[in-house]
Amino acid sequence: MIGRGRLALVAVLVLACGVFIAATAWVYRAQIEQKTLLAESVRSSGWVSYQTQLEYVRSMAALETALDHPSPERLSTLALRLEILLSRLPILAGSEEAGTLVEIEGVDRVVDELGAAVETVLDELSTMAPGAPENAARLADWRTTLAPFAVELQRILQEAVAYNERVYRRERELGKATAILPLLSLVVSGSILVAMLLIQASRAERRLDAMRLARAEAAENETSLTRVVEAAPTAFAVIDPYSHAVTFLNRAAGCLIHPSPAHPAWRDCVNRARAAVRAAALGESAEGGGRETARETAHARVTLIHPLGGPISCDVFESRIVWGGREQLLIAIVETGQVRHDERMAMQASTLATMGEMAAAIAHEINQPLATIKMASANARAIAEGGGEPEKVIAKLVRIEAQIDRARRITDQIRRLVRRSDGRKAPFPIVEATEVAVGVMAEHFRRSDIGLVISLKAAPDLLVDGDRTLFEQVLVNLLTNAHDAARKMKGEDPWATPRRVCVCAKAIGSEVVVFVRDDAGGIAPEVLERLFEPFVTTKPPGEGTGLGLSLCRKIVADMGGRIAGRNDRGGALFEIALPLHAAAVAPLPTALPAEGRARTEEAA
Amino acid sequence: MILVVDDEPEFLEEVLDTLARRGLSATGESDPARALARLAHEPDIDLVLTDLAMPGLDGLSLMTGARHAPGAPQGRRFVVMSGHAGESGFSAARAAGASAVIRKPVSEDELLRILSIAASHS
Repeated sequence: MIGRGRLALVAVLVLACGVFIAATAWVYRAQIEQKTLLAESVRSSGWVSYQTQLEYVRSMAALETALDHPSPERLSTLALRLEILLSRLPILAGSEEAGTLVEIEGVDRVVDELGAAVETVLDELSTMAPGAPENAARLADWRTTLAPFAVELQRILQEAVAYNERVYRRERELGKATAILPLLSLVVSGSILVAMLLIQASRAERRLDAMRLARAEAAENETSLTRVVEAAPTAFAVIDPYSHAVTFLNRAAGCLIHPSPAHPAWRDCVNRARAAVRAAALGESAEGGGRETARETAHARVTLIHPLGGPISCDVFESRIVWGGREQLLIAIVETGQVRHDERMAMQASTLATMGEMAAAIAHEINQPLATIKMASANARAIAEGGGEPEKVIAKLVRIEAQIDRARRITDQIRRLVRRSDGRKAPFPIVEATEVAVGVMAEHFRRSDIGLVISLKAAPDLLVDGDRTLFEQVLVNLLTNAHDAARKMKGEDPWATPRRVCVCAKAIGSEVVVFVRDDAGGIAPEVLERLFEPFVTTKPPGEGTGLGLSLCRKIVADMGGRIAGRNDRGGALFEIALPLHAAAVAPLPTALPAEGRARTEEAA
Repeated sequence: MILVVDDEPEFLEEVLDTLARRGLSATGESDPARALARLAHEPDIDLVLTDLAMPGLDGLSLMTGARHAPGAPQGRRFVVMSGHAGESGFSAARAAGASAVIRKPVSEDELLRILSIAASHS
């Protein structure tokens, strides 16, 4: 394509050049031709004038000879000369040979008068009788008539010669500064212009070639760099410096956090890494006497959060690079193994603490029926031993049985709650799971005199995908937090306003949203922004592990949903949005409120 | 007279049965707020056996409220029982003026022993 375009350009230039030279040559040739014609015309005009003058002089000489002795021979010679002179005159007046004589004043008049005089003389000469005595007088008359024309003809000849002289002088001058010079300069300047054009075009072409080459080299370098980065064991992420969006991840980075650059965990990681690097840079510049440190690479140590909830202690190196033709940030993440191990141990300890809390709660729930059973069995035994009525003993045994059932219900619920997740996703009815989770907590709320309201405005057969047990754990966790906050707010004041926690489920579009709302004053702003980070807790030391909400977020994210917490109407409001099971979306459109149920249950 | 306060009606009934069988004069109340009102009007109640965690008004609040009410009998004793409170919960109960604490579930003999010790404190 490029070669053909260039060829066409050169062809057009050569053609233009050829046309220019041909036109110049044509103009030159035409000028030469005209000049030749002019010279010819000038020369012939002089000659005609001279011939006429000569014939006049010859005629006058014949007239003088005849005057001297008017013999018939001499008279016929005179007649012949006059005839010749007469025949010359028309040539002098306006013939092609005498082209330039029209420039001389009075030529026509002289020719007419001389012609008329010569014709008169010829007429008289033809009637003249040879040897007549009056012949001499007539000849003298004729000489008198014709003599004045000598001056006129001489003038014409002289002027013609002078004109010729001028023309030849001009010609000589032109010969000195030859006519070809301006034409030559025209050709030379035109050629220079064309040459310059050609040179410029070829230079531009060369520049373009160099640019293409440089671009190809850059692309090759970038490909190599990408391969190196891709193969490197260190985790590399390329991010946009303004939007913080991840534009590239190498394999190691994908393994460390998540293979998808769009995963929310990356946003969190990038924000943490950048904040840490900025903080480190500020610290360094402060140490360096406040000097601005504009280094290529900045380094910091930071703890990143794996989407599964585990903290990863890392060294982060940040540098500015050009990637894909744009300025980007390259973040290298090096995992620091030892610290990571310590943090994992801490997390394990926290998990154990959670289990301890749970065990205490279980003990409490079981102890209630056990206490009743113990007293009832002792009473039954006493009645039986004392020979009391069997009905009284039976009543005690029925009570014992009821209490055992109650204990079994509690252990069933706990078993479901702590059942080991097999990690498999399966569709489960969200409304039922919500009810079970709320049921687990109902007793707890009742004992603390905190209202627990459940309002399920979603169809009971709505399915979501995920691990049911884990989802129930999420709700129990949110309810536990709401419970603890409400109890803390209620405090020791027996007359404090009764607190209430609401659990509500609604189908919204292709999602089902479960709300957990309390009226316990809300979450402190500094906690709110880091709500789902691990080890963030508002509870006193030893009571909360700070892991609950981070685990909740992980569980909900694994279900393809999202969890958010905010303050609303004097309390905290948590929203869990989960996508409906694919098969459930089509047959169950959003017209659910009609067939869905709205059930409210005061658990307190 | 002994007032037993517990929000579990079944447990309350069994305790009252036990105490009655052992010849002790006892009355029960499952609503702690009502129990507080009764304490203000019935000065002959000299021993209160109350659960710790109850909806509306917990055992500690009940005890504190009853003890500090105007005209409250000086010799009235309080025994706090709980099925889940840890050592800290029982310490708080003792600090608030409980003569003894009982961990649920409790045997009949243990219950009577503790009640007699508490009563003998007067």
